[in-house]
This record gives sequence, structure tokens and C-alpha cells, in this order.
Amino acid sequence: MPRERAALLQGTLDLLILKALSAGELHGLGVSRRVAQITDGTFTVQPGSLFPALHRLEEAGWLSSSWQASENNRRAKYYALTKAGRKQLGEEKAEWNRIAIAIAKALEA
Amino acid sequence: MRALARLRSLYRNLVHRGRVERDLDDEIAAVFSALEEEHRRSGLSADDARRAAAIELGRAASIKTQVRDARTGAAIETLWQDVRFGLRLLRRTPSFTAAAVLSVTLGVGATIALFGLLDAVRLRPLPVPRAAELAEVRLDGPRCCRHTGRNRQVSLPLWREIERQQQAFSAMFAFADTRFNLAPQGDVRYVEGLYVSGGFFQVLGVSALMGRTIEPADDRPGCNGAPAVISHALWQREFGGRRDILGQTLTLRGGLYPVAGVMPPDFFGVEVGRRFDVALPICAAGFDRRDHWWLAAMGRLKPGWTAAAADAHLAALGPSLLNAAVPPNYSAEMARTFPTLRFSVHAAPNGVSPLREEYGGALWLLFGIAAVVLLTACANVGSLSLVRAAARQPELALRSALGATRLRIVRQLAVEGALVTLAGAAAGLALARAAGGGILRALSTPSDPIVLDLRPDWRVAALTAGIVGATTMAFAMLPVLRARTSQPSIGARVTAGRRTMVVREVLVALQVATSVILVAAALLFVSTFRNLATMNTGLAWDRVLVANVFFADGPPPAARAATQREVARRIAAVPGIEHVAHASTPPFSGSTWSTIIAMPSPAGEIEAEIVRNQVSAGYFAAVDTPLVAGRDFDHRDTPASPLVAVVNEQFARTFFGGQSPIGRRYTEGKQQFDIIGLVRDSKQYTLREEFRPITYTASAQSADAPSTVRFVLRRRTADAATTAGVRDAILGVAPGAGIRFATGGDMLTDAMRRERLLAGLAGFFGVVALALAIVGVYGVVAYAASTRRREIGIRRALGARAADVLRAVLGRIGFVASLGLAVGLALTLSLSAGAASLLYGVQPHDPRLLAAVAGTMLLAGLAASAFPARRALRTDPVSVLKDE
Repeated sequence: MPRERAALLQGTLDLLILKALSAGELHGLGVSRRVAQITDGTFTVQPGSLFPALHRLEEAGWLSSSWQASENNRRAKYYALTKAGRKQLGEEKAEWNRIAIAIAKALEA
Repeated sequence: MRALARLRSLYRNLVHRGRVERDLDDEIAAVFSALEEEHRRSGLSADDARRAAAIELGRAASIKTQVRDARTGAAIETLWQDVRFGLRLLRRTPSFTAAAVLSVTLGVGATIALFGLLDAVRLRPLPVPRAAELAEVRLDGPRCCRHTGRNRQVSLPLWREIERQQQAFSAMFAFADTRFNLAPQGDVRYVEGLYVSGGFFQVLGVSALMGRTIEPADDRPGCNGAPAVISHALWQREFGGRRDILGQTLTLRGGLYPVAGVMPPDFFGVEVGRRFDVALPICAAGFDRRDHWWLAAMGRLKPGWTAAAADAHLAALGPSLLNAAVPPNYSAEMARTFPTLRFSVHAAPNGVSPLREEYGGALWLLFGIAAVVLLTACANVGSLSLVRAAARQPELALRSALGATRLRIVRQLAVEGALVTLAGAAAGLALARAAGGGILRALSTPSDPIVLDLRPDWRVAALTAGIVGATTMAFAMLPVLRARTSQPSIGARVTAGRRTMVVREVLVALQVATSVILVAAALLFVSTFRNLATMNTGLAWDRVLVANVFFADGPPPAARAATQREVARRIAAVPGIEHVAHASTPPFSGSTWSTIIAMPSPAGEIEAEIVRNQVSAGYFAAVDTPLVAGRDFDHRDTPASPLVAVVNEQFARTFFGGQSPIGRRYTEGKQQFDIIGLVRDSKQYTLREEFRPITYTASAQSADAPSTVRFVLRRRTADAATTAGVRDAILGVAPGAGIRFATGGDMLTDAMRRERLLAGLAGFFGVVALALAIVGVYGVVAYAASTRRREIGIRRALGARAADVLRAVLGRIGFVASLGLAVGLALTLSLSAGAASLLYGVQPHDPRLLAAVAGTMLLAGLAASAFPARRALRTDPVSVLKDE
């Protein structure tokens, strides 16, 4: 059900991007693939959402970008977590866990 | 930390926009080629790889737009785009832009200018601390021989009594306005003068910019060493702002006054519309007689006292104050009447102002007219915006098809409206500045300059611009907001809905109604002006030259009479001078002399207040007022002979039932006058006055010659050489004399300056409103005709007559305009009651006036619809069918 997979939960996109970059720097397409990989293909990020989000996070100071040579020797723009971004990831993770536990509890009750 | 990062991004996005954009282009291009590469490696052909990459990435332009929207400052960026786009569009439709901006300019400019004047004259408090405590004291009741006038309320002894006895004011001050001559001789050079009581500056709470103000100790009997305080303007103008001005002496009225201080630039005194240049203590005037009414009294109310309470207090105190200051030369009758005068107290937080009394009503009226102009401008801009919005339907539909959101389109329209409004408001502010100054110049005369601090009121500017802006934007967006769906019907014939048409018709009705008001106002005030300008004054005043001659430093009083006779003889010899006479109060000179006379009548003794003028022999010939019966004054009338008088016909009608007054007598105080002549009626003080009873007495019978003589000279032609000849003749006899010339024509012009201003402004606004209404009607007719082009063509093809087509095109607009006309006329009638006192010889409900207004509007309507109607008639059925 590709339609369902595309429906990314509100607010989770930032978290997923930050998480995807926590292992190391990636270019835009790489971020998208990594998200798909770590969510076992549950979430795919469309370019139309990905690039605005990357730019927004960079402007917020959580990501930094630089032009580098890619794996097959082409120029690509790479994104990396900044110190502030790592802190933000921690906060969002904690927040997400709180919500997830609460929801799980609510559903079991 | 985060805010700092945002700020850095904002700076980068706005300032290094090109770099940021290039970076984005590169990034997307790199992603695309990376995808393409991947697909090729997986075995696709180059073309298929490119296609697959394109499908996976989606539309590059769309991604970029989304990234741009996510950027910090995206709103500013798009706004800037909208502004540039709006400017481009407005440039491309210059006629719409010009009409809309001009409407806004006129509406906003007129409103701000008139509000500025109104505020300066009527509303703004004096620039002194706690202005709300200020109140003025006036003396009301029968004039009872007081030479009252502008700010002339009390005598010096009476002022002293008030100040000593009253309990309502914490402190009081008195002042009198005057003029001082700065020129040592010849043509006088006046500066505005102020006599002030010692407490004036202290009670007002203003201190000097340099040196000191006049203090209570300066106002003492004898006035030895009394100082002068000068205005900042005079200091700059006459003394070049020199620091060593303090201690220099001014020669005024033959006395020497050291300059003690310079006042700050924003202090003009307490009289709105005037600006003092030199202030002296009141002791310097030397007017301490009880029958010399020359001072105005003001004060600061004690805490807790209202003007009403102070009014009751002074009214109760009145008889005791007045009894202590009865002039000793009053007859028993006048001495009995005098203490019945009543004091009144009026709050005066914005000072005193005869200007306010004279022009207050006119200014309110003009402000009302300006508000109507603003309304007209709103209606005009509104209907123009509607037309434009309808014409732009296809463009907007195209944009929405290309993915512009409705919000974006609405914002674009709002930005365009705002641009028009801002341009109009900016031009309006400039117009208001120029118009305010122009109006002041129109009201000012050299002898009576009006000085006001006109500054644009930003609240009013913002309010008026806001009203126009909201109207513009609302009507520009109306069609878009109302469209239920914004489906992109590209190329579809988008016609305005029925409801849009109704809105436009309401706007036209409103425009017609406001134009009717403005056109009626224009006709009323132009007629008033014309009536006054062409009226019979009973005088050949426009051919008269008045020379006011001041013999202050001249011969001693005993020799004055001989000197003055010699001056008159020399003036008579000047080429171009036909008659030489003099009068104590020449007509229209701004002052009049009232007196109370008594005479026996069958019903007992009657007393009446009438106008008196003391004139020389030959005065009636000089002003061309015919002698009807009896004789003019001549050599028989001397200080030793019995007192004689010449009266006018109104006098004879009032007191003798129209019978000949020759040989009758009246008394004034203790003096008895024999009436020897009867002259035609003439105006004396204002053009508007009804003919009043006037008695003329002979100056030759006055024992002492006055120090000021007002020569009334009849000229053959008005030229400068005659004036120069008169000046030389006077200075040849009395070298130290001061002279002020005024031509009768100038005096009449001055007397009508309020009417001229009203006629000029109302006429201008009337023409503008008419033009706006024509544009409005034209727009609606043309639009109605163009949307019904097909129908008209088909009907013509089917044999419809021209009259039917015309009825179809014009019927509705005719009805709408008639409705506007009726509403406008009704409003005019109900609003014009307030203007009655400003009109002369014309009535708002005069049927001829109403017919003239209706006729004007009808002609304008025909002119506006003739062109589109003709085009509709010429509609060629074939071409219509081909087009469709």
C-alpha cells in the first residue's frame, strides 16, 4: 500500500532525517534511502518533502551542508548533523518515546 | 542560539539570493544526474534512464518552489515578488493607475489638509503646560459705548479689579494685541505686537529661550526701563539670530525698550492664527483710562474649578467689579447701565482666536466637503478596481491553472491595491502640505497675516489612507473571493456575475450622490461670492485709496490741524487724485464706531445704538455716496459753531418713519447734534450687513486734531505713480510721519477672502467630483454595453430599432443615476442648513439651484454614456457572430 507508506506522520519527518544523519553525513538522495532502510521501507520521503525539510533544518542550525565528491565521483551536496542537531535529535527522541508509550498504554487500556 | 542561526539565514537568503538560488539549482541538478546515473548502470538506455530519474524526482521546479517556501524570509521574498509584479502591471495600465492614484491623492490630500487646518485652528491645545486649566474672561451684554473688538474686553482699571477680587483662578494675566512700527519714518513696517501683564509668561508657564521673560516687576506705573521680549522669528529675521541681541534697544512708539529675552520658536502667544513678534508690559501702552477697552483677560482655573463654576463666580462678582470701574465721563444713564454687563468665563485650552470665530464654521464645512471627496474617491477607486478585476479574470484563471493558490492570487491583488493606495497617500500628503499653505496664504493679508503651525496629523493620514486602501483592496478582491470555485477556465468567457454588476451600480449611485452634494456646494459658494462681489455697497470703493497717516513724532497737537490741512492741500495737487477727504473709520477698514444716541419721539425718548463716522467735508463726494437732501459739511462748521450731523436714509427710515430728517436733533451723551443733510445708504463694516443707521459728524468741529488721519482719496486711475505722489506730498509736509496705504479694491478683496476661499475650494471639488462621476458612469455603461454585445448584435440583426437598443444599454444606468441624484439632492438639502450663515443671496432650497445641479448631472451623464452608447448602436451583427 504505497499510499499509506507515503503518509508520513506529522512531525516525524524531522526526527527521521536527524536520525538518518546521526550515523554520518549523507547527500539528499542518501538521506531518503537511509530513511527507507531504517524504517524497513515503511516510510519513503518524496523529494518534494525532503529538500524543503533539509533546507529548513539547515536554516535552524541543526544541519550543516557542504559540496563533496560522491561515491561515484560526482559532486553532491552532503548534509551532516551539527552539535545543536545532535542535541535536538536527543530531545525529539525522548519526546517521541514519551508519546509512543502513552499511545501504547492508551490502546492497551 | 537558534534565533541567531535564523537571522543569519534570513540575511543570506535576502542579501545573497543569487548564490542561494544557484546552490539550490546545483543541488537538484546533482540529484537528478545521480539518479540518472544509477538507472543507466542498472541497464537502462540513456533516454529511459533520464525518464525514470525524472519520474522519481518529480518536477524540479515544484521542488524548488517548495524549498523556497520553506526558507526563512520566504514571506518577504514573495511579497517583494508581488510588489515587482504589481508595479509592472500598474505600469502597463497607465490610465487605470493614473485615475486610481489621482482619486486617492485628492481624497486623502483634501481630508488631511482640511483636518490640519481645523486641528490648528480649533482642536489643538496651546503648547503650554496644563493647557486644560486655561480659561478666558469676557464681558457680555449691551455694548454700552465700549469700543469692543477683537480681544478687547476690559479696561486696565477693570482688569485690576478682576485680578484683585476673583477667587476662581489661581493666577490671571491680561494681554492686548497690537502692531508696532519698526520703520523710523515713511511707509510703516509693522510687526505683530503684544502688551502683556506682568504675570503673562509665568502663568502660562513658558520661559525664554535666551535671557528672561517679562516679569511682574516690569509692569509698574511709569514703566521706566520696561523691557521688550521678542519672538524667535523676529530674532532670526531682523537680527540674524545674533547672540548679543540681549540689552540692545528697540525704538517703538517713540520709546526705547531694551530686549530682555527671546522666546522659543514654538511659542506664538495665546492667539491661534497670530504670532507675536514683540511683547511689552501693558504699562508701556499708557492706556489706563476707565473707558479704554483694550485688554483680554485669561487665567488658570484653581484645581477643582470648572469654567462653569468660575462663570457663576464672576457673574456674581460682576456688579462689584464694574461699580469700581465706571468711567467718570459716562452720562447718568450709561453709568446706570454699565454695572448690568455680565462677566462670563469660557474654557480656553486652545487659546483665544477670532480666527476660530470667523473661519471655524467654514473650516468645518470644508472638512465635511473633504470627507465627501474622500467618499467619492473611495467609490471611484472601488468601481475602477472592480472593472480591473473583471478584465483580469482570464489572467487570474491562467495563473490559478499554473498552480498559484487562491491565497497567492488574493495577496497579489491586495499588494496592487496597497501600491495604488500608498502612491496616492504619499502624493496626498504632499498635496495636503501645499494646499494647507495655499489656504493660509489665501486667508492672509499683509495687514492681517495668519500664521498657523500646520503639521500633518499622522493618525488622520493613516486613517484616511486606511479607508481608501481597504476599499481598493476589498473591491479588487471581491470577484476572486466570491467565485465559489477557482476552477481554471482558461480562455473561457468570464463575465461578471449579476451580483458584481449590482455592486458597481451601487457604487455609481454613490458617486452620483456625492457629486451632487459637491456640485451643489460649488454652485452655492460660487453664487455667494459672485453676489458679494457684484453687490451695491453704496460706495465707489474700488476707486478709493486710503492713506493712514501717523503724525506721532510730528507737530505738537496745537499745530497738527494746520499741518493736516496742508497735507490735504498737497495731496489734492497730486496728478490723478480727484477728491481728498478723511474719515475716522473708513468703510471695510476692520473697525467701526458704535455710539448710543437719544432723541425725542411721540412715544417718549428713544435710545438706540448706531454707527458713527467722523468725516471731513467732501467725504461723500470722495466715496461717491450721493447727498439726497440738505447740505454737506463746509466752512461754516467749526469747533465754535453748533454741532451738526449728516445721516443716511436708513437712519431717517428707522427714526423718522422716512420723513425728512433735516432740521431734527438727537443727543449723544451731553452733546446735541442738528441734522443738516441726508445721504444714500452704504455699507460700513462688512459686505454682508444690512444697511444700518449711520450718522456722520464733522471732523472740523472737533477741537483737537487726532494723531492719526485716515485719508480717503478718490483716484482717476490706479497706478503706482499716484501712490508715490501722495507719499511724497505727505512726507514733504510731515517728514516724520508714518504711512500705510490700502486700496479700496484690496480692502474689498480682504473682506471677501473667506467667500473666495470657499468658492475656490468648493468649485474645485465640484469639478473633480463631476469628473469622477463621469468616469464612473462611463465605466459602467461601457462595461454593460460590452458584455451585452452579442445580445445587441443579434437584436439588431432581428430588426430591433436604435431606441430599443439604447433602452437596453442605458435604461438601468439611467435609473441608478436618477436614484443617486435624488439621494444627493435630499442629502444636500438636509446638510446645507449648517452652511446658511456662510451663504449670501442664495438659498440651498432655491429651485433654480436644484434644477441647475440636476441639469449639470444630467449633462454629465449624457456625456459619459454617449460614446459607449454610440458604439453599441454601431454593433455589426456579422462581426459579432464571427467573433463568437
